[in-house]
Amino acid sequence: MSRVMSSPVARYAWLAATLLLLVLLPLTDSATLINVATKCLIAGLFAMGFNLLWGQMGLLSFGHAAYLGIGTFATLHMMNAIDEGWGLPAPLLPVLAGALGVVVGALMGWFASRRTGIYFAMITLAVAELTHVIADKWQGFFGGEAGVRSIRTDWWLFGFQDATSVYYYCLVWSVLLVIALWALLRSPFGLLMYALRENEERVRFLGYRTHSIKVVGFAVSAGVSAVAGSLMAFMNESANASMFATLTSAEVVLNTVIGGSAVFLGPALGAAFNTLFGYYIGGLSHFWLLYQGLIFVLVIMYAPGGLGGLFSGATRQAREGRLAHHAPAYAVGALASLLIAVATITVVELVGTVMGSSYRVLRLTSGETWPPVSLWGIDWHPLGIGTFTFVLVLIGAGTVLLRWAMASHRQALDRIGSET
Amino acid sequence: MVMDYFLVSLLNGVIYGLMLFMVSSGLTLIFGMMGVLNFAHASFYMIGAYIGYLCSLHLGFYAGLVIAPLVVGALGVFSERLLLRRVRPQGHTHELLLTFGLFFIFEEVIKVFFGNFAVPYQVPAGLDFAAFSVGSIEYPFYRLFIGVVALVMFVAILAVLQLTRLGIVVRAAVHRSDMVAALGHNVPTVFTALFGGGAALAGLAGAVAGAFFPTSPTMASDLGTLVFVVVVIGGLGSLSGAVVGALLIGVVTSFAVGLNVSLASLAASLGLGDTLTQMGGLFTVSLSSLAGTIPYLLMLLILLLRPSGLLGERS
Amino acid sequence: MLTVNDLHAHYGKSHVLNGVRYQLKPGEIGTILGRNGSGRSTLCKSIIGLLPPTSGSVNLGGRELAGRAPHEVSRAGIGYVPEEREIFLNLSVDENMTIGRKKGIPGAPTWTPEELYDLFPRLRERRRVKAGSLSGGEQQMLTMFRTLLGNPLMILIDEPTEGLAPKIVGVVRDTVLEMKRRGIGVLLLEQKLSLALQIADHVAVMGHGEIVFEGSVEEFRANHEVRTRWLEVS
Ligand SMILES: Nc1ncnc2c1ncn2[C@@H]1O[C@H](COP(=O)(O)OP(=O)(O)O)[C@@H](O)[C@H]1O
Ligand SMILES: [Mg+2]
Repeated sequence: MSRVMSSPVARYAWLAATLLLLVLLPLTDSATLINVATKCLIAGLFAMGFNLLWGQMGLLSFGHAAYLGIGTFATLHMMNAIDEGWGLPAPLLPVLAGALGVVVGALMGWFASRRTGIYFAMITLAVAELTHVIADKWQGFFGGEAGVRSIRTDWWLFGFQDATSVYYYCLVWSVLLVIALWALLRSPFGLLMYALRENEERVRFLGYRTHSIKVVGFAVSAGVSAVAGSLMAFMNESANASMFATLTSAEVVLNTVIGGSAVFLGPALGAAFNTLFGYYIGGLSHFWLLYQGLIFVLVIMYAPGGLGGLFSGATRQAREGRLAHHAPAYAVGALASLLIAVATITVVELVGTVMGSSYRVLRLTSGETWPPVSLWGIDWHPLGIGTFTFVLVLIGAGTVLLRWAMASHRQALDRIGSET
Repeated sequence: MVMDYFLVSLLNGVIYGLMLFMVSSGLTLIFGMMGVLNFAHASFYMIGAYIGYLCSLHLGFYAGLVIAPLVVGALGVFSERLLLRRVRPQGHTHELLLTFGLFFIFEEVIKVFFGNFAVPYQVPAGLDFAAFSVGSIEYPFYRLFIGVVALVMFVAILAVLQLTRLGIVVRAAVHRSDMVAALGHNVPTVFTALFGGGAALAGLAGAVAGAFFPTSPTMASDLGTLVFVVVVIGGLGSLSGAVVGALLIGVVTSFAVGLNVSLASLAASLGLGDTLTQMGGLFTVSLSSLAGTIPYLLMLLILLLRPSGLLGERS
Repeated sequence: MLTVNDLHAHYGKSHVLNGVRYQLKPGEIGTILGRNGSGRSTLCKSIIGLLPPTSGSVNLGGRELAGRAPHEVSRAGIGYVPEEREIFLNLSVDENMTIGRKKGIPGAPTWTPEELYDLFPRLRERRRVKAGSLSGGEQQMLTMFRTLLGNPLMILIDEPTEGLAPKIVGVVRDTVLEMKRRGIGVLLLEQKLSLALQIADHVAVMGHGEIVFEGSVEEFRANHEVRTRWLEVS
């Protein structure tokens, strides 16, 4: 977690503003937006749970889909039970699902935490694959291809029949859990978890049972993930075994890295970013997963702190009055990235279209010529000089600008280094 | 009849295992030398299949068997030299995540070029006949061809590692790369070569196997976890372990597919009545479906009981 | 000539080498004595590049080597025999020798495997055996031979006789003297004062990451204060 604290006022101002925005969001009255925002909340909570293991304890899990899925299916079955007349208050569903997640997580954590590093990751991966195979085949519980369906039941004064009420339901749960996580990280136990990551040997010498600390961490992490799964069940009212696939486990890693695992809310930020990205860019392009993968690799290579790291770095510079030094480099860097991004997108979209089956038909009907492709409101000739020039000029200019920005950024850092 | 089934399954399993070894050998050596578990390794297998497909359209099938490993090997060198090496100072986790991202990108790039579905990469007509028949089962010659290519590669890999100086250096570096460096070997360059070589092998495996098995964008993720299972079971970094792990997994998966009984029916045939059927749940699921769990169960057991793997030497 | 000047090195935050100065000529044997933990092994690792120095200079015949990668330092003519006898256990004796083989720099003495096996014939008898099954003494000799096959001009040998039987210690001594005879500069780190003082041309003492004494063997023997202050266990 971030050991660099920003000033309390600035911190809480950001938080309060974000929270206010989230609370007021349903005023937009756009069902789509509210639905996407709900997905952001759930993915964010899942990533926060995942990052308790990674960010705090340095344990990389490649199998968190299992705990998300357990929460989802447990909740679906409980919702069906309510529907059949069991007197189970709806708001309690995440509590029960979370408790189940904690129990399963403690068990799996007990095994996985006996190893560290890559071996830990491999155990979590094996557990998740195992769960996936079982979920796939065990139709009685997981419902096979069709999956399990259920419906939300109203409770007391609360009706859950519209997107807004589901959104608030998820918001309340997410905020509560994030606060609980925050408190946990700042508790003596949270510090122990962090110390474990830095120097396990020393923590052991101090007389702590490090394995137990890891098991508790794993259990809490799985529990939070199961709550996220429960919210997902509540939102979608259905699920099938495909949610246990490796892709789900991979997504939470992606979200956390892009958001930044060293900043408390970084994973939530990354999850929101990727969810919005998937929704809006996914609507515009078939190839959005490729763009997401490219962003991921760029973050790994050039901004290992993720979006959260960039954000907290910039606010720190602003507070120390140094942002002005860096502003030109940042602006030029952003421009350069934009140019390179436009060039990349152009190439990908043109290639993707030209290789597609509908274009093949077009070519056949046009007598084996290369009909133009429309993109950004312009007609591009796939093999035209103009297309190549456009792409090369953009990439060339972008590279030059980017190099300049990086050099100037480094100079600014050196200048500050020599002043202090 | 049972005997026929047994023989065919065994042969299929061994051949599949040899092919798994072609993909796993690079992965396990790369891990042994640098401690990087390369998530993108199975992607090299997928890319090899697609390049083989492209070649089969324009230059012929056999050209693909040469071009695919070359191109994929170059891609491996490029990935290591320009990407992986840059994040190395930040530690193994970053390297792991980078390969994870590459895995993602490779799959999506393939989709950009070839679409989301399988491409019709075919066994060439010259190799498409039945080699022999076992009972009523006609055994495709191409399976044997895959087996022979894998066997030749297997011998070639072992020969290079056992007999050449480069092979000896690689084996030494898998255990103590710092001492190898102190004796004057450029370990990063050796590693790049190993990375490229491992990629090339995976690419060749893809070009060969892709003509028989479906060539689709998911073939990397389908094989990827299985390859991890192989190297973990054999012992990360252990080449002989990869041999054993690959054959074991190959045979296990091959036998499992054909077993069409459930625990409940097994119990019934043993005279235990229908109790299990009535209990339902997991007991009525057919064993062949559950067989999919065997590799992961094995992997878990190994990780928990003997993390250095069946033949691994390091703890 | 190997010249180390003002060399500093850290393990994480702990400052282990604190401005070391040292010189060694080809064809002479220098020894550095010191208590356990005084930083002698670290000095070797910093020179060879396994622990890159944080500042200072390592110079061999006018060529600056500080901060270079280990393989570059090795190729520049410096051999290293580590204290843990890091042979490749999974490889045969001959394969271990193969890994050490390389062309030396011009003017450096050269060695062949057969010459080396002559110095210690028992290793020749076991040349096809896995190195992991060798005895401690055989492993030590293999480590030295392996490095010598790289034809170094200078060699750093870290505690070669630790835990060895007296007979093998004699073989180690003869091998080191043969290196000197052929013109290699040997930096010998030893716990056994007797062996070091018997064959060394000059003696240095290290304490807290610095060279605190330098002189001839006679000067060292005469200097009671240095011995009590920096070497004997209080
Ligand atoms: N790998 C290491 N990590 C951290 N500290 C080390 C390491 N190796 C040695 N040290 C420390 O560096 C100091 C010098 O050690 P070393 O060079 O091995 O001394 P010597 O060889 O003279 O006995 C000691 O205090 C030791 O604890
Ligand atoms: Mg020492």
